Amino acid sequence: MTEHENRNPLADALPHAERSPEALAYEVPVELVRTRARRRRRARTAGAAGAVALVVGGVALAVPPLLRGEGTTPAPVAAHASVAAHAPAECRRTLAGLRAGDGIRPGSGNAATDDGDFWRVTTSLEADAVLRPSGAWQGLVRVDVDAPTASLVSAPKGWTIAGTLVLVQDAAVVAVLDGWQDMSLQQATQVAVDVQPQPFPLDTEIDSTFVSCATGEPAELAPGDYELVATRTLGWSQGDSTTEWVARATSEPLAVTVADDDAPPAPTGPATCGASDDELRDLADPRTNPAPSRLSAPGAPTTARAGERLVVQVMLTNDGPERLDATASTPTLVVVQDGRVVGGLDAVESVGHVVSLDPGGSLWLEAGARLLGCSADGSAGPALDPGEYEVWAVTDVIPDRAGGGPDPASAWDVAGGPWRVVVR
Amino acid sequence: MGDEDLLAVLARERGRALFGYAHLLTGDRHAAEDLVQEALVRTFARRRSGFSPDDAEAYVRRAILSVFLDDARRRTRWAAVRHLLGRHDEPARDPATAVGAGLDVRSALAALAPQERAAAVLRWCEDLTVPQVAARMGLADGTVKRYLSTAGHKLEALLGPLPDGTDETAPLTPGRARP
Repeated sequence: MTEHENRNPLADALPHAERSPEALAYEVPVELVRTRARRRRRARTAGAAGAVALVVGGVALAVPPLLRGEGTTPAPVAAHASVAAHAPAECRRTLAGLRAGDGIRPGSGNAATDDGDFWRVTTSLEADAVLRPSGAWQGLVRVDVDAPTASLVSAPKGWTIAGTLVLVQDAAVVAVLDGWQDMSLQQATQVAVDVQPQPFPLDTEIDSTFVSCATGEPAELAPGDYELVATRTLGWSQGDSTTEWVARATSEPLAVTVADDDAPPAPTGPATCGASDDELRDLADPRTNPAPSRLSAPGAPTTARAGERLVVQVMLTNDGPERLDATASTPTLVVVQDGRVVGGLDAVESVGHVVSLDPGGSLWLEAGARLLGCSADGSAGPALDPGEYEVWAVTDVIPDRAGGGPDPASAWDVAGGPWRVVVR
Repeated sequence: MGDEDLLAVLARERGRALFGYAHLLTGDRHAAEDLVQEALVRTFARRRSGFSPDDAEAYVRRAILSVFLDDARRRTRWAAVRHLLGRHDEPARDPATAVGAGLDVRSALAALAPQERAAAVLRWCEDLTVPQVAARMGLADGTVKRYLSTAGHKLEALLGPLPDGTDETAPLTPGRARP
């Protein structure tokens, strides 16, 4: 092997990174890591029998506004036929059963007599939480408490006590998040909590796995659609510490999909095979993309030959009120059919184009792609079938800083199109 | 060795290496610090028996990669194809000019989308085979090949030729000791 063939400019990148000035100046914050790890460990075992979870930074679940409820122990329902004997208790409930225990009550140390109807507890599950076939789940849950119709002297501060996260399919609980356990409102009012209240909203990042109801073991999730539902028991105080409340709230179901393990990963970004063209439309529409630049292609080809290279002269226009000094990438062409990305997406040279435009000014950028389709393994596919397609162009624009030089942190994406093309 | 001691040993002996790895992925000092901290928390939030420092380091490295990729997925920015030159006011239309202008490896990696960057670091810095890269990233081999193809084009435009690596199941540098 020649020296040229053997050259790898990245071969020593890791050793160099380890000896960089930044690395030599770096020290692991050991005590901080220990504290955070202990907290996260406690959060995993929150609600275990007799224990109180002192989670600072709560778990947010999407819940409807709460009415003051009785907060009794959730009513048991007929056991699901396929629930293992040692499966978590939540496996034996329906959604209605889970919600039955929701409510608000004065806490154990409450000196107030108010019934608390003015409180509103709202939570949300992060919409793009990752659920893997192995049952591993990573996501963010947030809980918030406010009193929209009351004039509060001070904002409430709270803590999460317990909670559970279940996976539902066809209206039945099929899995329960490991290490989490529900607690009734009644139990919560009797538990002494030693915790430093935190301002709302309380966020909890969760990284755990689901336990199958059918087996009682770590879940192996079949590909398909599910719903995530979370229940949280929390407390809060307002002003002086003698005014406390506890609540239990169950979220609205959040739809999640477990992809086939052997299938390509779900598309991310508008320039990905199989992705919907919704994001392209948003990037091209000034109402949804207020960035001060537009892409257009007057005179774009309307016909092309399958498998051959399509070249589109794209115009980048500064449609903002101020001068635009930036760097723009060579646009990528994306081919869409029936609302889905089906091809194009040729790798383009890493070239930045200097943009220096007065308001209303334009410059031409050449974009090109072979008219090839997508393939299952992500490699370039065969030539597109003859037919009608829509072509989009996408690029990113990196504005210059005031003192000169690019400012990648302020970069934005912009799309143009669609332009109808008939492939023969 | 208890968890508390293991963390201290790992921090003392491998902290800089872990930071360097995270810095290569993120290109940002503060992001790398956050990444290392989160990976350590995830690793030591679970009690593990029989973990040696080498086991722990391997686990933390995987957690660094996992957190980096998950954070990238959560961001709303389009990252399928990105081009960043970073340091120059003038576009480097001629790859030779770009290299001559002194773009270093980190700047070159910064030109890649997060998935491409992770694949590039695993393949060309950590010298993993394509199947190994795919396993680490939880992706199909074909998807990794696509990322490497795109990343390779961009890196070669800035750094010059990369190894041929036609045999995707073999390390690029046989016999090389890996970090």
